[in-house]
Amino acid sequence: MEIRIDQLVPHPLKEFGFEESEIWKNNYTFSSGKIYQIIAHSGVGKSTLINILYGDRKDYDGNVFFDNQNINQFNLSDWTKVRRSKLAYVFQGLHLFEELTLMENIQLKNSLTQHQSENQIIDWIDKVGLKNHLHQKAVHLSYGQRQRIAVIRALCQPFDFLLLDEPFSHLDKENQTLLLDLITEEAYKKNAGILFTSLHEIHDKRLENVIKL
Amino acid sequence: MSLNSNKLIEKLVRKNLSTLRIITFCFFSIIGFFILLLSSIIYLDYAKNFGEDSSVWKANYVVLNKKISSLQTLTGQKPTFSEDEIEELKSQSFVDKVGTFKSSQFPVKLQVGGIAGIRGFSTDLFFESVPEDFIEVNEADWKWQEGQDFIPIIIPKSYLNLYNFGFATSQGLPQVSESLFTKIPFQLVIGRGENQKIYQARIVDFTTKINTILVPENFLQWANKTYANKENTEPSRIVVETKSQSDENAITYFEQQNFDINKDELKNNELTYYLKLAFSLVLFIGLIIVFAAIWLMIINFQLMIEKNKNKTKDLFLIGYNIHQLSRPYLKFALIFMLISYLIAIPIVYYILKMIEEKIGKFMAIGNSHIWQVIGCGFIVVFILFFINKIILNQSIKKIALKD
Repeated sequence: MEIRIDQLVPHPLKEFGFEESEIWKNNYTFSSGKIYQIIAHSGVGKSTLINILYGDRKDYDGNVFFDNQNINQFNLSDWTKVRRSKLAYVFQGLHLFEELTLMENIQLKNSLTQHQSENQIIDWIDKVGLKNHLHQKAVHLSYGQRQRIAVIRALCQPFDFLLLDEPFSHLDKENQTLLLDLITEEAYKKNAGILFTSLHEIHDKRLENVIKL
Repeated sequence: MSLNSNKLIEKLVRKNLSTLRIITFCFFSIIGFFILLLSSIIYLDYAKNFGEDSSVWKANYVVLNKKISSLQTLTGQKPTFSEDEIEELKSQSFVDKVGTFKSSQFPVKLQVGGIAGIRGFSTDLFFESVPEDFIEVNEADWKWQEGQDFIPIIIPKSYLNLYNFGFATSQGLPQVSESLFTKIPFQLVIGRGENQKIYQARIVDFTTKINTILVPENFLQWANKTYANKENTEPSRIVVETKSQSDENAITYFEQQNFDINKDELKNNELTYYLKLAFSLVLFIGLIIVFAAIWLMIINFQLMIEKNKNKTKDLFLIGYNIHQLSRPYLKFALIFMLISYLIAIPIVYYILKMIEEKIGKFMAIGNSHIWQVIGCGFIVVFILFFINKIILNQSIKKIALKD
């Protein structure tokens, strides 16, 4: 899949000067199979960009195309389909359900898509070091732990792009590498693209496309 | 461990169900359903019978005749209805059907043979008839065919009273009940001179609404031709079926035309009308309470959805659709509504039994409509459920689309 941006600018940022932006009021094409790191300070619209691509914000000028299909044509059920099969999203606020256990949070997504086996999920949880917390309620986990769960939840579906909104902001170097390994590996398997936002550039040889917002 | 997505959503939603609110909702629903069911059943089983003090006549009718003045007596002008007058009456908006009375044009003598100590007697009589549609008696009884020697008769109940409380007591004769009276055979001597024949007759029913002796219409037509050589004369009385009970227009029209009506009968109709109005009012109040209870539930769920706004939005964002999100709410709504309805049914049944014990002595109840009403109630429950569903889906959609 290809995501093409054409003269896109969100309404709240309309009056902003964007001479340097590679995205806003510009044209850009994201292709699946590649990893994109989008870097910007706060308030320049990192989350806004991801939310526009995910169909949660419609207050923008310009156009976004998924494989030449303008996303402003999508209705609610089209978006539901896209969110089940094309776009996976790790929200900045994570959006986990505190009263559900770690496993239930993941199953909430996986039972919808029936995409991953339970063994695979447990394997991932083990990999990110949370196997002992499997049946603990999300409310009792730390932010870093929850972040890892949110990533695993996002992987429980087919996708062409994995969107992550500041996924590494609360992680140490070690965990950051761990997660990066996990998502790149999964994206590679699916020949999917990864789009993630960050305050500061993360230096890793896998992150070839760095975009300044 | 295969966790069903519906179960998980339910788990998320259930957290915000308040027991107090559920109990309040169920309580008002039960009251609403109770009033609705009870008043519908009572209306169908009892209210219909009020005012029909005689089973012979169908509802909503009045008998009209012209007022007789001394002038008419002097001039010999007949108080009959002409074709034009009947046509005009038929064209009135409140009139459903018009039937004319036919009267016998031949001499009739009634004879009772002495039986069981009752002295026999004979008296001169007359007959009248109205079209069969206006009369509601057992069809097998109310039939006459050419060549049949037996003639069924309907007499006013007052004749029976006259006999029982006037004649019988003064003459030292035994009193006779209604049912026994219908078993007494009479002989009718019809015609005069050579053209005379004896028929058997029996009273098949009584009426309180009109002061006349009724025989089947086809018999009267045939007898007028055979014994009097006259087929049709202008009727002096007509029976009118009105569209609704005690229509104001009808009463003013009858007064304008100088027609005479039985005032008691109208009063009876009026009473029935008010009674039915009262029942409709109770029914209406029941309906309002049910709707208020359902409204309470809808508001309740709106509140719950509002409380669960972020969860709903998050679930929508991870790929759940509107129907999946509204399903747990709808499931709870249906369960609570059905529980309330099912609790209301036995209460209604119990109260009905109590009413039946008290009223049953005075009034015969035919087939109770209880099961039909309960069936319709289920339809009402499902209609309310679908209204709820539409509203729920709308509010969830609104949350899903909000930024």
